Amino acid sequence: MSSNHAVEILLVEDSPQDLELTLRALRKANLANRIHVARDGAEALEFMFCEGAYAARTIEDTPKVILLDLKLPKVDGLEVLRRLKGEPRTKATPVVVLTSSKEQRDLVESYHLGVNSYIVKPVNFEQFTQAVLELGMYWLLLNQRPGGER
Amino acid sequence: MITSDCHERESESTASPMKAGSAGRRGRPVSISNNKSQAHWLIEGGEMGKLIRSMDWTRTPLGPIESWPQSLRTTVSLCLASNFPISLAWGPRHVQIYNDGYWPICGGKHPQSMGQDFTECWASPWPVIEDAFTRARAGETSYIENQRMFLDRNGYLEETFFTFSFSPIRDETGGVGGLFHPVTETTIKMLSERRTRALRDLAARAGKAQDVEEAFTLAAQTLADWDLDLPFVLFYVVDSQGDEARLVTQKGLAAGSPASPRSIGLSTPGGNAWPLAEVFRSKQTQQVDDLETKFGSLPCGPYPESPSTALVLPIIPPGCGGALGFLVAGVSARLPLNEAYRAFYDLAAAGVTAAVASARAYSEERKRAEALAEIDRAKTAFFSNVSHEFRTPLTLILGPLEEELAESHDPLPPARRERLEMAHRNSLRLLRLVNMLLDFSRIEAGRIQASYEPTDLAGLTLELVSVFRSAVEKAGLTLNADCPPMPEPVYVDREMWEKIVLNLLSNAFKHTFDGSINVTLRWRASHVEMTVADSGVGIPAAELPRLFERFYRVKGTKSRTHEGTGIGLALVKELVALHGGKIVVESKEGQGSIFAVTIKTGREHLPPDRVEAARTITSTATRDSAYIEEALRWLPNSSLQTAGSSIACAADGAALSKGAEPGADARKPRVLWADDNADLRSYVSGLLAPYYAVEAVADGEMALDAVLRRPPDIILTDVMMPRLDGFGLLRELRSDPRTRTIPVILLSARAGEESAAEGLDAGADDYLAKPFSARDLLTRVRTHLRLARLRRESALDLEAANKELEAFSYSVSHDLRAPLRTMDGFSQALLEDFGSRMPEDARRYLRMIRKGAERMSALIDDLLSLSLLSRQILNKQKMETAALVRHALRDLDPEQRDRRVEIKVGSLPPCVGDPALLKQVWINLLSNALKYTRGRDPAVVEIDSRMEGKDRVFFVRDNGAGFDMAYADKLFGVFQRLHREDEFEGTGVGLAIVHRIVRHHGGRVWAEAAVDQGATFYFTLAGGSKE
Repeated sequence: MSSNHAVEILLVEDSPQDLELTLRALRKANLANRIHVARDGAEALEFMFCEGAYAARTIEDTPKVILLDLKLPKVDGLEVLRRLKGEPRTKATPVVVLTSSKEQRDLVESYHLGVNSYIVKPVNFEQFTQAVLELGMYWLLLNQRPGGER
Repeated sequence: MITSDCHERESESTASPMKAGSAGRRGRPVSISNNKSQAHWLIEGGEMGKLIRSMDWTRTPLGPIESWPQSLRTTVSLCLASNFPISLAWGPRHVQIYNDGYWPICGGKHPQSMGQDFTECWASPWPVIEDAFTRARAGETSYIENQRMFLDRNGYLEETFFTFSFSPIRDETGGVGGLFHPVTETTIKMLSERRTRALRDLAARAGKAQDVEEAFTLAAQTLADWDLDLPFVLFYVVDSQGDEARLVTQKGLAAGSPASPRSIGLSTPGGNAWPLAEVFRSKQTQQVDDLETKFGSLPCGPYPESPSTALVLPIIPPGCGGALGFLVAGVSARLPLNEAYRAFYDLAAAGVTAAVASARAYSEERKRAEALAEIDRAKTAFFSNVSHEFRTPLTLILGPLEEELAESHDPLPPARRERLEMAHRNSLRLLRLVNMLLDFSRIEAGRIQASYEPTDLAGLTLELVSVFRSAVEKAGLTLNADCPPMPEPVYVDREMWEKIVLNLLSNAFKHTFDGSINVTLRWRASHVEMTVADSGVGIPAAELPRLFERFYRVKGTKSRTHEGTGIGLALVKELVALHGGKIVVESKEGQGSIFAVTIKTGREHLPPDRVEAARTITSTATRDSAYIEEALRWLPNSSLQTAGSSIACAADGAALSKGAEPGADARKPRVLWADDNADLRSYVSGLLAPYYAVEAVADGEMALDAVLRRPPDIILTDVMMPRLDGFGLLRELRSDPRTRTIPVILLSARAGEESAAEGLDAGADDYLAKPFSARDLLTRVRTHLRLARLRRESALDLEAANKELEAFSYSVSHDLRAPLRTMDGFSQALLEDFGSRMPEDARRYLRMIRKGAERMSALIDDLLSLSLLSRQILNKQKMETAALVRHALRDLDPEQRDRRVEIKVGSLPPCVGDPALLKQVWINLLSNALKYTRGRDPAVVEIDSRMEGKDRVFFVRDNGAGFDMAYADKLFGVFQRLHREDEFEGTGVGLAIVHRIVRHHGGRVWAEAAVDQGATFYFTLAGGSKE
């Protein structure tokens, strides 16, 4: 069982506009309470593996879902995905790719690397909000089970 | 001058001996008496009786009828009572009295001839009848049969024939009072017989002619013997252009006279000596009259009178469109030109025609036969000359080479020795081939000189077999020879027997890859039998009958080499035949072949002069080393050890690198070189080694393996190779994407444009005919390597450009959309959070911002899918068009909401294409149709297909806004729109996408429409749409 203070969602997003819109969507769905934001791939990895600035974190404090943009500075989204899914400690954390890219190869590569969901961010904000809501809920609920069962 | 018909002639002969007589007759008119009572015994005498009664006989030596003695009266009444032509010559003045039957014989002389002096009346034939007449006057009856005589009865001297007798009539004094003269005219019969003989003669003699001219000459010679009917004949032959006739032969007239010009034009009728032009045109016989007026007196025989008429007859052999020549034939001056005579001319012309036709056939046949014989002679001579001419330089090559190789004082360094050894081996091989050809040409020309000697055949055979032993064993085969000594010597030509055995062994070795070769020799009293059996690949049954044909080679069988002339077995067969023997073969595919040679024992069957005879012509015995050196070269991995050489020829596929470091080789372009001739393999490898890393292999399959293991930069390959030949290799290489772009140069001994074209057609980059020069080969290799590098570089450039484009569209996909989302998102946030406090205009602006962002987004999506199309590889498959349309319509369902839309789907056969892309086509076309029918109630959209020629055309028709056909060419361009944005929304990319997909499938797309009349969009999928 995760503690109440544990981060429930890790949002990896470099664009401040998209970040704000995403947070707004999450807020609307009442999912914004325990969100941690990483602004690039490297930070996301440090967070997950408790390195660098996040060395104080415990690795067991894993978020319930990671919302990952693909186009990121430093380490890009697919690389982040590869590292997370290639590591036993982080492999089980659901990753939802949240991206502007409709490119087939991004989609294929993501699934190949073990992504749990893939959402193309719609330009239309209502649709976007809807998508975030549905997916966030789904994975949060799915992960609300006792940690021992995982 | 010329009349078409002239049965009767009016003779104007001035030379007639009758002239004086006629004048005399005219001066003595016959007076007619009416005293009937005086000659009552004449009443029954027919026409002549009437005439006699009516005549005034007082003016004749006979005096009045009443005074005639009883003997005369009796005779006259007998004469008149007879139907048979009878004439009487009475008294010393030979007064002539005749009956009705005799009348026609007199012809124009009648009636003056009645009562005329017989000798006077018949003065013209008198010379031939005088004797009989005189004898009869003397009391002796005379009889003459078929006497030819010339009568002037019709105003000219006429050739006639008579059978007659003269019998003395005793008068009251007991002396000869007069002559009884019964006559039969046999002219018709005699002429007919004579002419029949002439025609028979013509057929017999002219029919022997061997060419057309000779046929005419012989015909003229023959017909000259029959000048009584044909006073002159001229033969004209039409020249090849058909515009002139040339006089080829003539009889009766000298050539070149006015009546016998040497040539007569055929193009213009009229004005010529003879109407050949007219006859040439009409193909009908023509008669020419008044010859004397035309030509003057013709100096021909047989009579003093010149012929006045001639006939011109065409000679038209069967199968000829027109006349080949003409017969111009004179008409006898002493014969009436009646039906029988005319028929004779026709038959004579027909006879000549037949002779000409057969001569033509004969000469054509002979020309063909001569041409064939000439070709055959030329071929034999050619082979013979070539072989002889080759032997001299070959000898001069072999001699010095052997001396050089045998040099022990100052031996050559190994590398140079190798080259000489290669030259030596191949000179020997060439010598063997040349000798075989020479043998053939000698056999052909019947000049082969065998020398049959009593021979220990078992010993000789074993000796020859042993020559092959080492090569056979080196190949991992066993060679067994079972040749027990023969009870008596066998007569063979040793050189020939050697060739028989070595050729059969060489053949067996060439086609056997494991097992054994067995040679047996058996004594069978009347003959000996030698068999060479192998456990090789065998010969397909269909090929067996042609196996011993010269230059015939069994195709597609596995063999150690593809080299061969196709004359070895043919030569063996000829050589065996020269021993009065035969060769047979039995074979089973995959199991092996048995060649059995039998030759007779003893010497009776051999020409005695060739038994133990000395040779006078050059021997064609080839050193057995030539066979064995060659056989050894067929072995794979043949490393030239027979000659103690050290060239490593990597037939097993290992790279041949001669003295070069591996590091250096790695940087060199790699050449793969396939040829089944080991010498050529190492020679070419040696040439290329300084510049390239060479891998040499012995056949196409090894080449293919090597290529797939490590693709070379260029491939050189021979055409004729065992297992997989050059063309097969090319096919394999070109069908594999990994090897498709490797340059291939074909090297082949088959010279000629045709072979080159065939090679290039098969996908070779170049074709080089053997023998080629080292420089030529190196240049070509260098050129093609450079070309390949350029190709590769430009392919890389293209690839880079493609990658760039891909990266570009990738970031477009990401980065262009993000700001749009920002615009939309914050506009929405603004509306949500502050909308209630904003004036209505501000809210409308925000909505417009959002609409713009959405439209921009749609545009980006369309552009991305358009750019995607150019990189996409088609995933073609057969699919149900109807289902595709159904899916497309389902995706478009929202657009049909709240509207009345009638959708009619016709017959849509399956098609072949990329399902995802074709669905896009249908979606775009249908959404287009739905969009432009928005104002219609109901909107009608028809989806159907039809055949146009061989193409299946699909189409979508709507009853919407349509467009002006003037803009039809803009329809499928990117961003081309024919309507304002506020009429019909859209990005102007949808139809461009349709266009690109259809074109990508090899099809075409077009549209027909009129403003407000709806539009129809058509497309085809070439090669895809099937019934």
